Amino acid sequence: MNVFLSKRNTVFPKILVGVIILILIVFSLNNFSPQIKNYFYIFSYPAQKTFFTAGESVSGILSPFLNIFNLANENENLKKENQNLLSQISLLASDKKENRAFFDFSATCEDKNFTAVMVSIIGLDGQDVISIDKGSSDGILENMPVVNQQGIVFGKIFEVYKNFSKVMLISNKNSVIDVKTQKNGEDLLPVEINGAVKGNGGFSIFLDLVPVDQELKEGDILVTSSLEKIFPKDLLVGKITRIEKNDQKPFQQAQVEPFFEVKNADNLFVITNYKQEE
Amino acid sequence: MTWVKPFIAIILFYFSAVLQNSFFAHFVFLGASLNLVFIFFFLFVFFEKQAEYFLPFLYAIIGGFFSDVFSPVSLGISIILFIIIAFLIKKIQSLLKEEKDNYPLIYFSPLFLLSFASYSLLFQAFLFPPTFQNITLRFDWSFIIEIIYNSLFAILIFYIYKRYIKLNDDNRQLNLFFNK
Repeated sequence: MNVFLSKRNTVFPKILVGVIILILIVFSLNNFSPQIKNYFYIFSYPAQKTFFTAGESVSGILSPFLNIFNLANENENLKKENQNLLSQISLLASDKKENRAFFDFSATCEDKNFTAVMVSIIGLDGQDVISIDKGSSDGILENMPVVNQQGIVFGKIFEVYKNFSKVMLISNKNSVIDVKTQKNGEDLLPVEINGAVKGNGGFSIFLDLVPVDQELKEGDILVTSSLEKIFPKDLLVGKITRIEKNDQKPFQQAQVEPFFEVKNADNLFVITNYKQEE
Repeated sequence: MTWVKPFIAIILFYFSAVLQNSFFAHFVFLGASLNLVFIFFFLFVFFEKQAEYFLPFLYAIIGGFFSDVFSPVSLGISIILFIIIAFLIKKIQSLLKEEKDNYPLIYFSPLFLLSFASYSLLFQAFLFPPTFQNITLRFDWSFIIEIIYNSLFAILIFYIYKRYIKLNDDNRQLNLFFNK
């Protein structure tokens, strides 16, 4: 009994000391966290970039085999989309105002006095977070919007290191952005409907907080409304694919097909000088 | 020769972390991604001798460190979670009935499922902003798919490890024993 107690008495202090040392190590690691992470990203950048490109090529080759069961559906969807696009082309040609969301990014930057930093994706950290190859030394700060050349919203900067940054995609479960439906030329009295696009994880998003009395339509295009003062207005977000309306609930929801595609995104832009007018 | 295993672990965990963030970033199925670092960490701990606690502790620190470096959480979160998981794996293994084959799949699969699910849920709690309520966000289909996806990959590596590496390791130890 005494032997057991004495053994137990020596084990407990050892565990306690171990736990204290571990906590101290973790705390001290956190003090140098940005430097350590930055160092590893610089060191790993060539390998990471090579593997990222290799993965892109391999997944491109394998995707027809992996998606073989979806081919019929995809073909059907593409046909419908093609018809929609054809009708949109005719509308866009007749009304120049409508094509303002489908703008060329550089022209918009010039037009709106935006300055942007071109960045490349170097990795995906899971949880709908991507790493890009520019950081605070390139003028990047937290909450700056990240878009592609066509003005499609990808997300916002949420962690900045010296030479790289992390971008929270709009599909991240903690992401909420204010959006509105894009005015459509078909409507005689176009009405903008406001709502919030929330991340659903796994590169998917949904529309929420739209009052039930508002008339959403499948195929409606969602653009940023700039209410949350992070994203400039009229940036493309996604397209409504299915409306989920329940009269017992004050708000309706909708499934949204996001426009952004991480796999095919070569270069992105971080808008560095956007400031919401007060 | 005890430094060989930790050295291999450093190299393997580092490249696993780089690969899972770059190459395997293109193989996300229905929101489920591969956690190579966790799979290798689990295998290293699982195949370590039952009475051995120091090496699993070391694997937890190395694996946790590389996992945190390439993830959007503060450094140390995965280290702590990996240490707890390593300790529990060794404890559970020591409670399991001793058999001729100490590392059967019937032990491996449920232990892996349990450890991976616990790690994923607790890791979620530390994501931006860190709250315990974050865990509720994780309960969806992608969580189940992620567990299955990672388990399949883990079982594949389990067989490779057991068939080639563990067998060679045991033979070498037997040879050393007989040559003594």
